[in-house]
Amino acid sequence: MSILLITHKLAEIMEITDTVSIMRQGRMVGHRETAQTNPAELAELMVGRKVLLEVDRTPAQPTEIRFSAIGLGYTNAQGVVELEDINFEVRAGEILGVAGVSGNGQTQLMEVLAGMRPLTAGQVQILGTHVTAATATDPKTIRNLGLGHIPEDRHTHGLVLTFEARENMILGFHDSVLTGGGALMDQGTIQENAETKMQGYDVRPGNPRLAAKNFSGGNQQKIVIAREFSANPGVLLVGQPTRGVDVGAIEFIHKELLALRDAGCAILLVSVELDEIMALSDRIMVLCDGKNMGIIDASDADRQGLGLMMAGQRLEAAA
Amino acid sequence: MSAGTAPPLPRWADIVLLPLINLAIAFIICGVIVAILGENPFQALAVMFNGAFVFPGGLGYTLYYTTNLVFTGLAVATAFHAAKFNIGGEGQAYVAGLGTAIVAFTLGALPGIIVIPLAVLGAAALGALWGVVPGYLQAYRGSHIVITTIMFNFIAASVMVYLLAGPLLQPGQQSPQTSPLPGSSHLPKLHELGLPLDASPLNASFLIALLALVAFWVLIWRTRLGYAIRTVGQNPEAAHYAGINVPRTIVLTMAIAGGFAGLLATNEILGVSQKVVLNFTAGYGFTGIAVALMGRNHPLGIFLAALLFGALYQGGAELDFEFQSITRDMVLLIQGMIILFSGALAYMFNPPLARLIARLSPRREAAYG
Repeated sequence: MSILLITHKLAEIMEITDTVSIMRQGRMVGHRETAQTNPAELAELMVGRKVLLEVDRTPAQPTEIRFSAIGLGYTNAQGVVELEDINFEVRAGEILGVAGVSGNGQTQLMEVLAGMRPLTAGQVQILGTHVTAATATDPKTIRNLGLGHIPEDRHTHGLVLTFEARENMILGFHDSVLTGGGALMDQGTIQENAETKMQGYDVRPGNPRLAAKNFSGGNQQKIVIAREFSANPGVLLVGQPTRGVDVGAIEFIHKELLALRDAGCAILLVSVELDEIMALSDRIMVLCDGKNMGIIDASDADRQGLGLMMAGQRLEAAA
Repeated sequence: MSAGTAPPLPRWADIVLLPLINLAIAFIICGVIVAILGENPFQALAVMFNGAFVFPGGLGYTLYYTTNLVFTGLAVATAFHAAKFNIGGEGQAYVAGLGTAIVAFTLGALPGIIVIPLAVLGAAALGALWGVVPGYLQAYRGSHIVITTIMFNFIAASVMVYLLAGPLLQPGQQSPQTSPLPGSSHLPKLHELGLPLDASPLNASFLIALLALVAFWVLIWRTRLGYAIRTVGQNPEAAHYAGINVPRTIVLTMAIAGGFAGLLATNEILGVSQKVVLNFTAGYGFTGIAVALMGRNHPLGIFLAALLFGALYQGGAELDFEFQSITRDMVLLIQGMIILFSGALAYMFNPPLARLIARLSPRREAAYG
């Protein structure tokens, strides 16, 4: 049987294809025998320039604890326990990765931490402020504490696809200085804000009046990232930062994420791409069935050990 | 995109050309029916046009109807921006009559400059109240707003019948209505203000309607609340992520929508009848849905659609006088056709039109991917 596989995941191509054709901006830019090529060459053909596939990461310089959870639990409206006894702490200047098979509580964890769902047990500390089940809270309050949030699903949460890029650039910040200080939102300020950030994060096309749905996935993600990063958050939640994003944008997003870490941000990173978690994180927490299987240093982590923990073995047993 | 889909319509064609084509089709079908009835459709059109704009007082009447339809159109459009379908303009406007009456009867001794603004606010406040309840039920209890706003029209009708036939009935009066409102609450007619107009019910409410259109534009596109309303309408989950209180925004939206509908009472009661009578809303709340749909929820479109329907109300009455075989019901037919083609079938001509424009316009480079 002949199978046509369309993907931007280079590992998949190398693994199972026999020949590969590369498209860039609507044109076929190359045809290769898979055995005669390598991921670096494919990435270069896809993007049109040399791409760094390996993340160039210096050791973290963590300082004070910015962000922590003690005994955090979440039981949903139907009474199902979705998160149980989650404990972690993230220091300024480090990335804590959250690994796990998709659907093991990552989404719930992100949304509880961002204030989008109420936590039902334990407490969270964000830049010195304690949040418990009793201090019911909402995304606005949490954001105002200095927490940025790149949601896992940019189409559902991160963007309003029918809105112009400049309107998306103030999503979550529409009552901040980004819209001018006056009684009415200032169009000039909103336009300028979008122009600056779209330029700074190389969003293409750099047209603030274009609706978000008309950007490619990578550029949509860059809009979200530009918005959240430039608020200079003290704590950042990042969910699936490179889902559905081309290789060039992945490189860019990874670089920016590390730059933010080195600037002293405490980052919690959720991703279903184990490679991404391992490449970016300084420490890795593994979730299985809404429970924390343990936290290990990235330098001690290997795919096999993480895989066992993702399948439900606790750190002590997996090690 | 699959092979069957047409290219997107250019903005100008979407906003100007398509509505005009829809309108033309509606009029052509009505013209055919008029011809079948044995009358000359062009003559009928001329009579309608003259009746609406040329005959003495015609323009005044047209703009008076337009005023009502602007208010109810805005009531629907405001809710539309939060993706809520407000069918309750009729009931919101109806109970708003109570607001004008309460203010006028309790404060009627004060001068007009104080009573009138308060009576206008009273109308908006009662209309808002009638919008807030379905809004609350939708936002916090998940009751579908289409159902609850329709039900609230019936509740409003029953409450008003009870009040007008009972506690508020003018003593010695046979038909259900209140006593005349104190003179200080009467809105001036525009032809009394020295404007070169023939006598008509057109009153200062028309100016309030124009202000309301501007206020609506500012609210939706220039205020933070408007941004929140549009975000809730376009993507409620993103609104929640962004820290917007979605239920509260829905309730506020419905309050504003009801407030706009309530202003209809200023035109009908403070401006014209100067007492609250049974069924003074006369279906404007429902026609407002068509106005908002046709006007694409934009103030300029709403004004033009309200003007069109206002002209039909007024010009249609003229048809009845002039032609033996045409009755007032012809207006309903024309309205129905316009609603059918501009509302229900609004995009029927979209694909062929888009293909035609794409074929006629020079080829352009594909957009950046």
